[in-house]
Amino acid sequence: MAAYEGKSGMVIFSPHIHSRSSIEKIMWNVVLALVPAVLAGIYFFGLNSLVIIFTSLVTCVASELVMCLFTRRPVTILDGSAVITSILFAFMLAPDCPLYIVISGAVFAITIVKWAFGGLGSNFMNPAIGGYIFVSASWHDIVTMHTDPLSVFKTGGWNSVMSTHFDNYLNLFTGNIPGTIGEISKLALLIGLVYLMVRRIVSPVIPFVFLGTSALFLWIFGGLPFGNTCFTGNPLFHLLTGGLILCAGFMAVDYVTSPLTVKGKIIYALCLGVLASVIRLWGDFAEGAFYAVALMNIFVPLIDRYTAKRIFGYGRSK
Amino acid sequence: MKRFILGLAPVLAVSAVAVTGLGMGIVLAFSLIISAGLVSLARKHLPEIMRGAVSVIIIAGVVTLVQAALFYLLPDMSSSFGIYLPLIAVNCYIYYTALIYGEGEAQGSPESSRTVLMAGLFIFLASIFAGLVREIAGRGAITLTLPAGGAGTLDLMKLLPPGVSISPAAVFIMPAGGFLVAGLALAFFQHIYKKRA
Repeated sequence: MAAYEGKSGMVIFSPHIHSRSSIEKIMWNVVLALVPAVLAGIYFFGLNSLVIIFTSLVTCVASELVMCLFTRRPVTILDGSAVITSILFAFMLAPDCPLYIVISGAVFAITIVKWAFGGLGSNFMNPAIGGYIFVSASWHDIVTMHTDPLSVFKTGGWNSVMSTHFDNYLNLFTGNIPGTIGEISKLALLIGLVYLMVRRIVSPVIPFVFLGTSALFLWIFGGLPFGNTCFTGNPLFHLLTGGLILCAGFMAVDYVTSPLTVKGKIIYALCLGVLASVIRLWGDFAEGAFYAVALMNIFVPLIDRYTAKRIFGYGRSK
Repeated sequence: MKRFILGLAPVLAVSAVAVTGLGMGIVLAFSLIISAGLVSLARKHLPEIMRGAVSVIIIAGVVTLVQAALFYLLPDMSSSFGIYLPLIAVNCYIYYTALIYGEGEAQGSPESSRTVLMAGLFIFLASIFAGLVREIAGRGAITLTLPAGGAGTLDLMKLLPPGVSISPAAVFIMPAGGFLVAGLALAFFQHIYKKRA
């Protein structure tokens, strides 16, 4: 890389792109975009979901503070990244989740998944998803055994969805359904996502390709687990249930754990869509999107390596 | 300084229960110390080209004897070890220690004997530590006799004050929990090394 090494460190040669964005600005904007979904969770599930979100918030920020002091780094609790992790982590939990599970998952997310690998910018996996995987593996019966339209569909097929009246798309869209705190209201999540896209904080590539691939895949192969032929799936129902939109809009697009180039983003999102759908259709869990994101996070450095842009004047010319 | 992470498999595989962690620690330390001693004794009587091969045979022989003894003396323990007991015969931790300190240049010196004894002691401590941590965190209990959950199990969940209900984090008795504990222990030692340097 064309770089100049001097007394004050290494500087990459000009042109430099100046931007007024900063970590704090981006992070607090994401927090703002999550507020509608927080309000929706509190509206539909009552104050208990606020208690869970607040517990997660306090625990994450406290863990961040402890790790900053322990590693003797500048204290970064106000940059908003721990706040985002805490809200996203609480979003994946059911509203009746015991508080000790919330606390241990939040501590795991910040101390192990984020700080053990070097803090913000160095974590290989989305901390919130890491925390969720920890609690869902540890307290499987408590964390993942809530009834939501997707698990009803998974166990009983379309007939039990009809009999439990979960086929009302308006309810699915606004969030008037059982589920986890953050993923129920697609409307609130989409409001936040549109805000982030308008402010140009989130590039639309990953959410659109992710959701598009999932919808296509679930449409083509969605009927197979129930003995139907191809092209009989119901992509709309799948998109409006579970955490697909939460994952695509707020977790898969995390700057640290998503590829840098547009080409890389497309590859990443394509794989995410296929993986999430495969886990949904044939996996043990009802919701596969979180695990798909966790798995693809690990491949992001590889994708970045193969899709890196050629620096002008370097490398082979073709 | 070269640092290796050796001997993970047997420790992680059987340390989900405290008492099998303890048993594996004893078996590992015993096989290590005995085979390193025998390798060291055999060294002078062998041409150099034969030493590696003979060491392998000695280690495999010692482990086979331990396996047979355990099978008759403690059949419960032996069956809970499963395949991981014969697999000690190909464990790098034992090979490394036995070959470097039993057969290498430093052979016979008090220092090499001390190193072998320390290596045995530490794999023993590591096994007990992993077993205790994983069972307390993952099952909320300490098993002192086999089978786990039987009469010899100390249930820590009963010690909680009434009204408090906490279930243990089952991930710690899964393989992932073994790696988690190993990783945390590794981070701790890395921290100590960095402080010293």
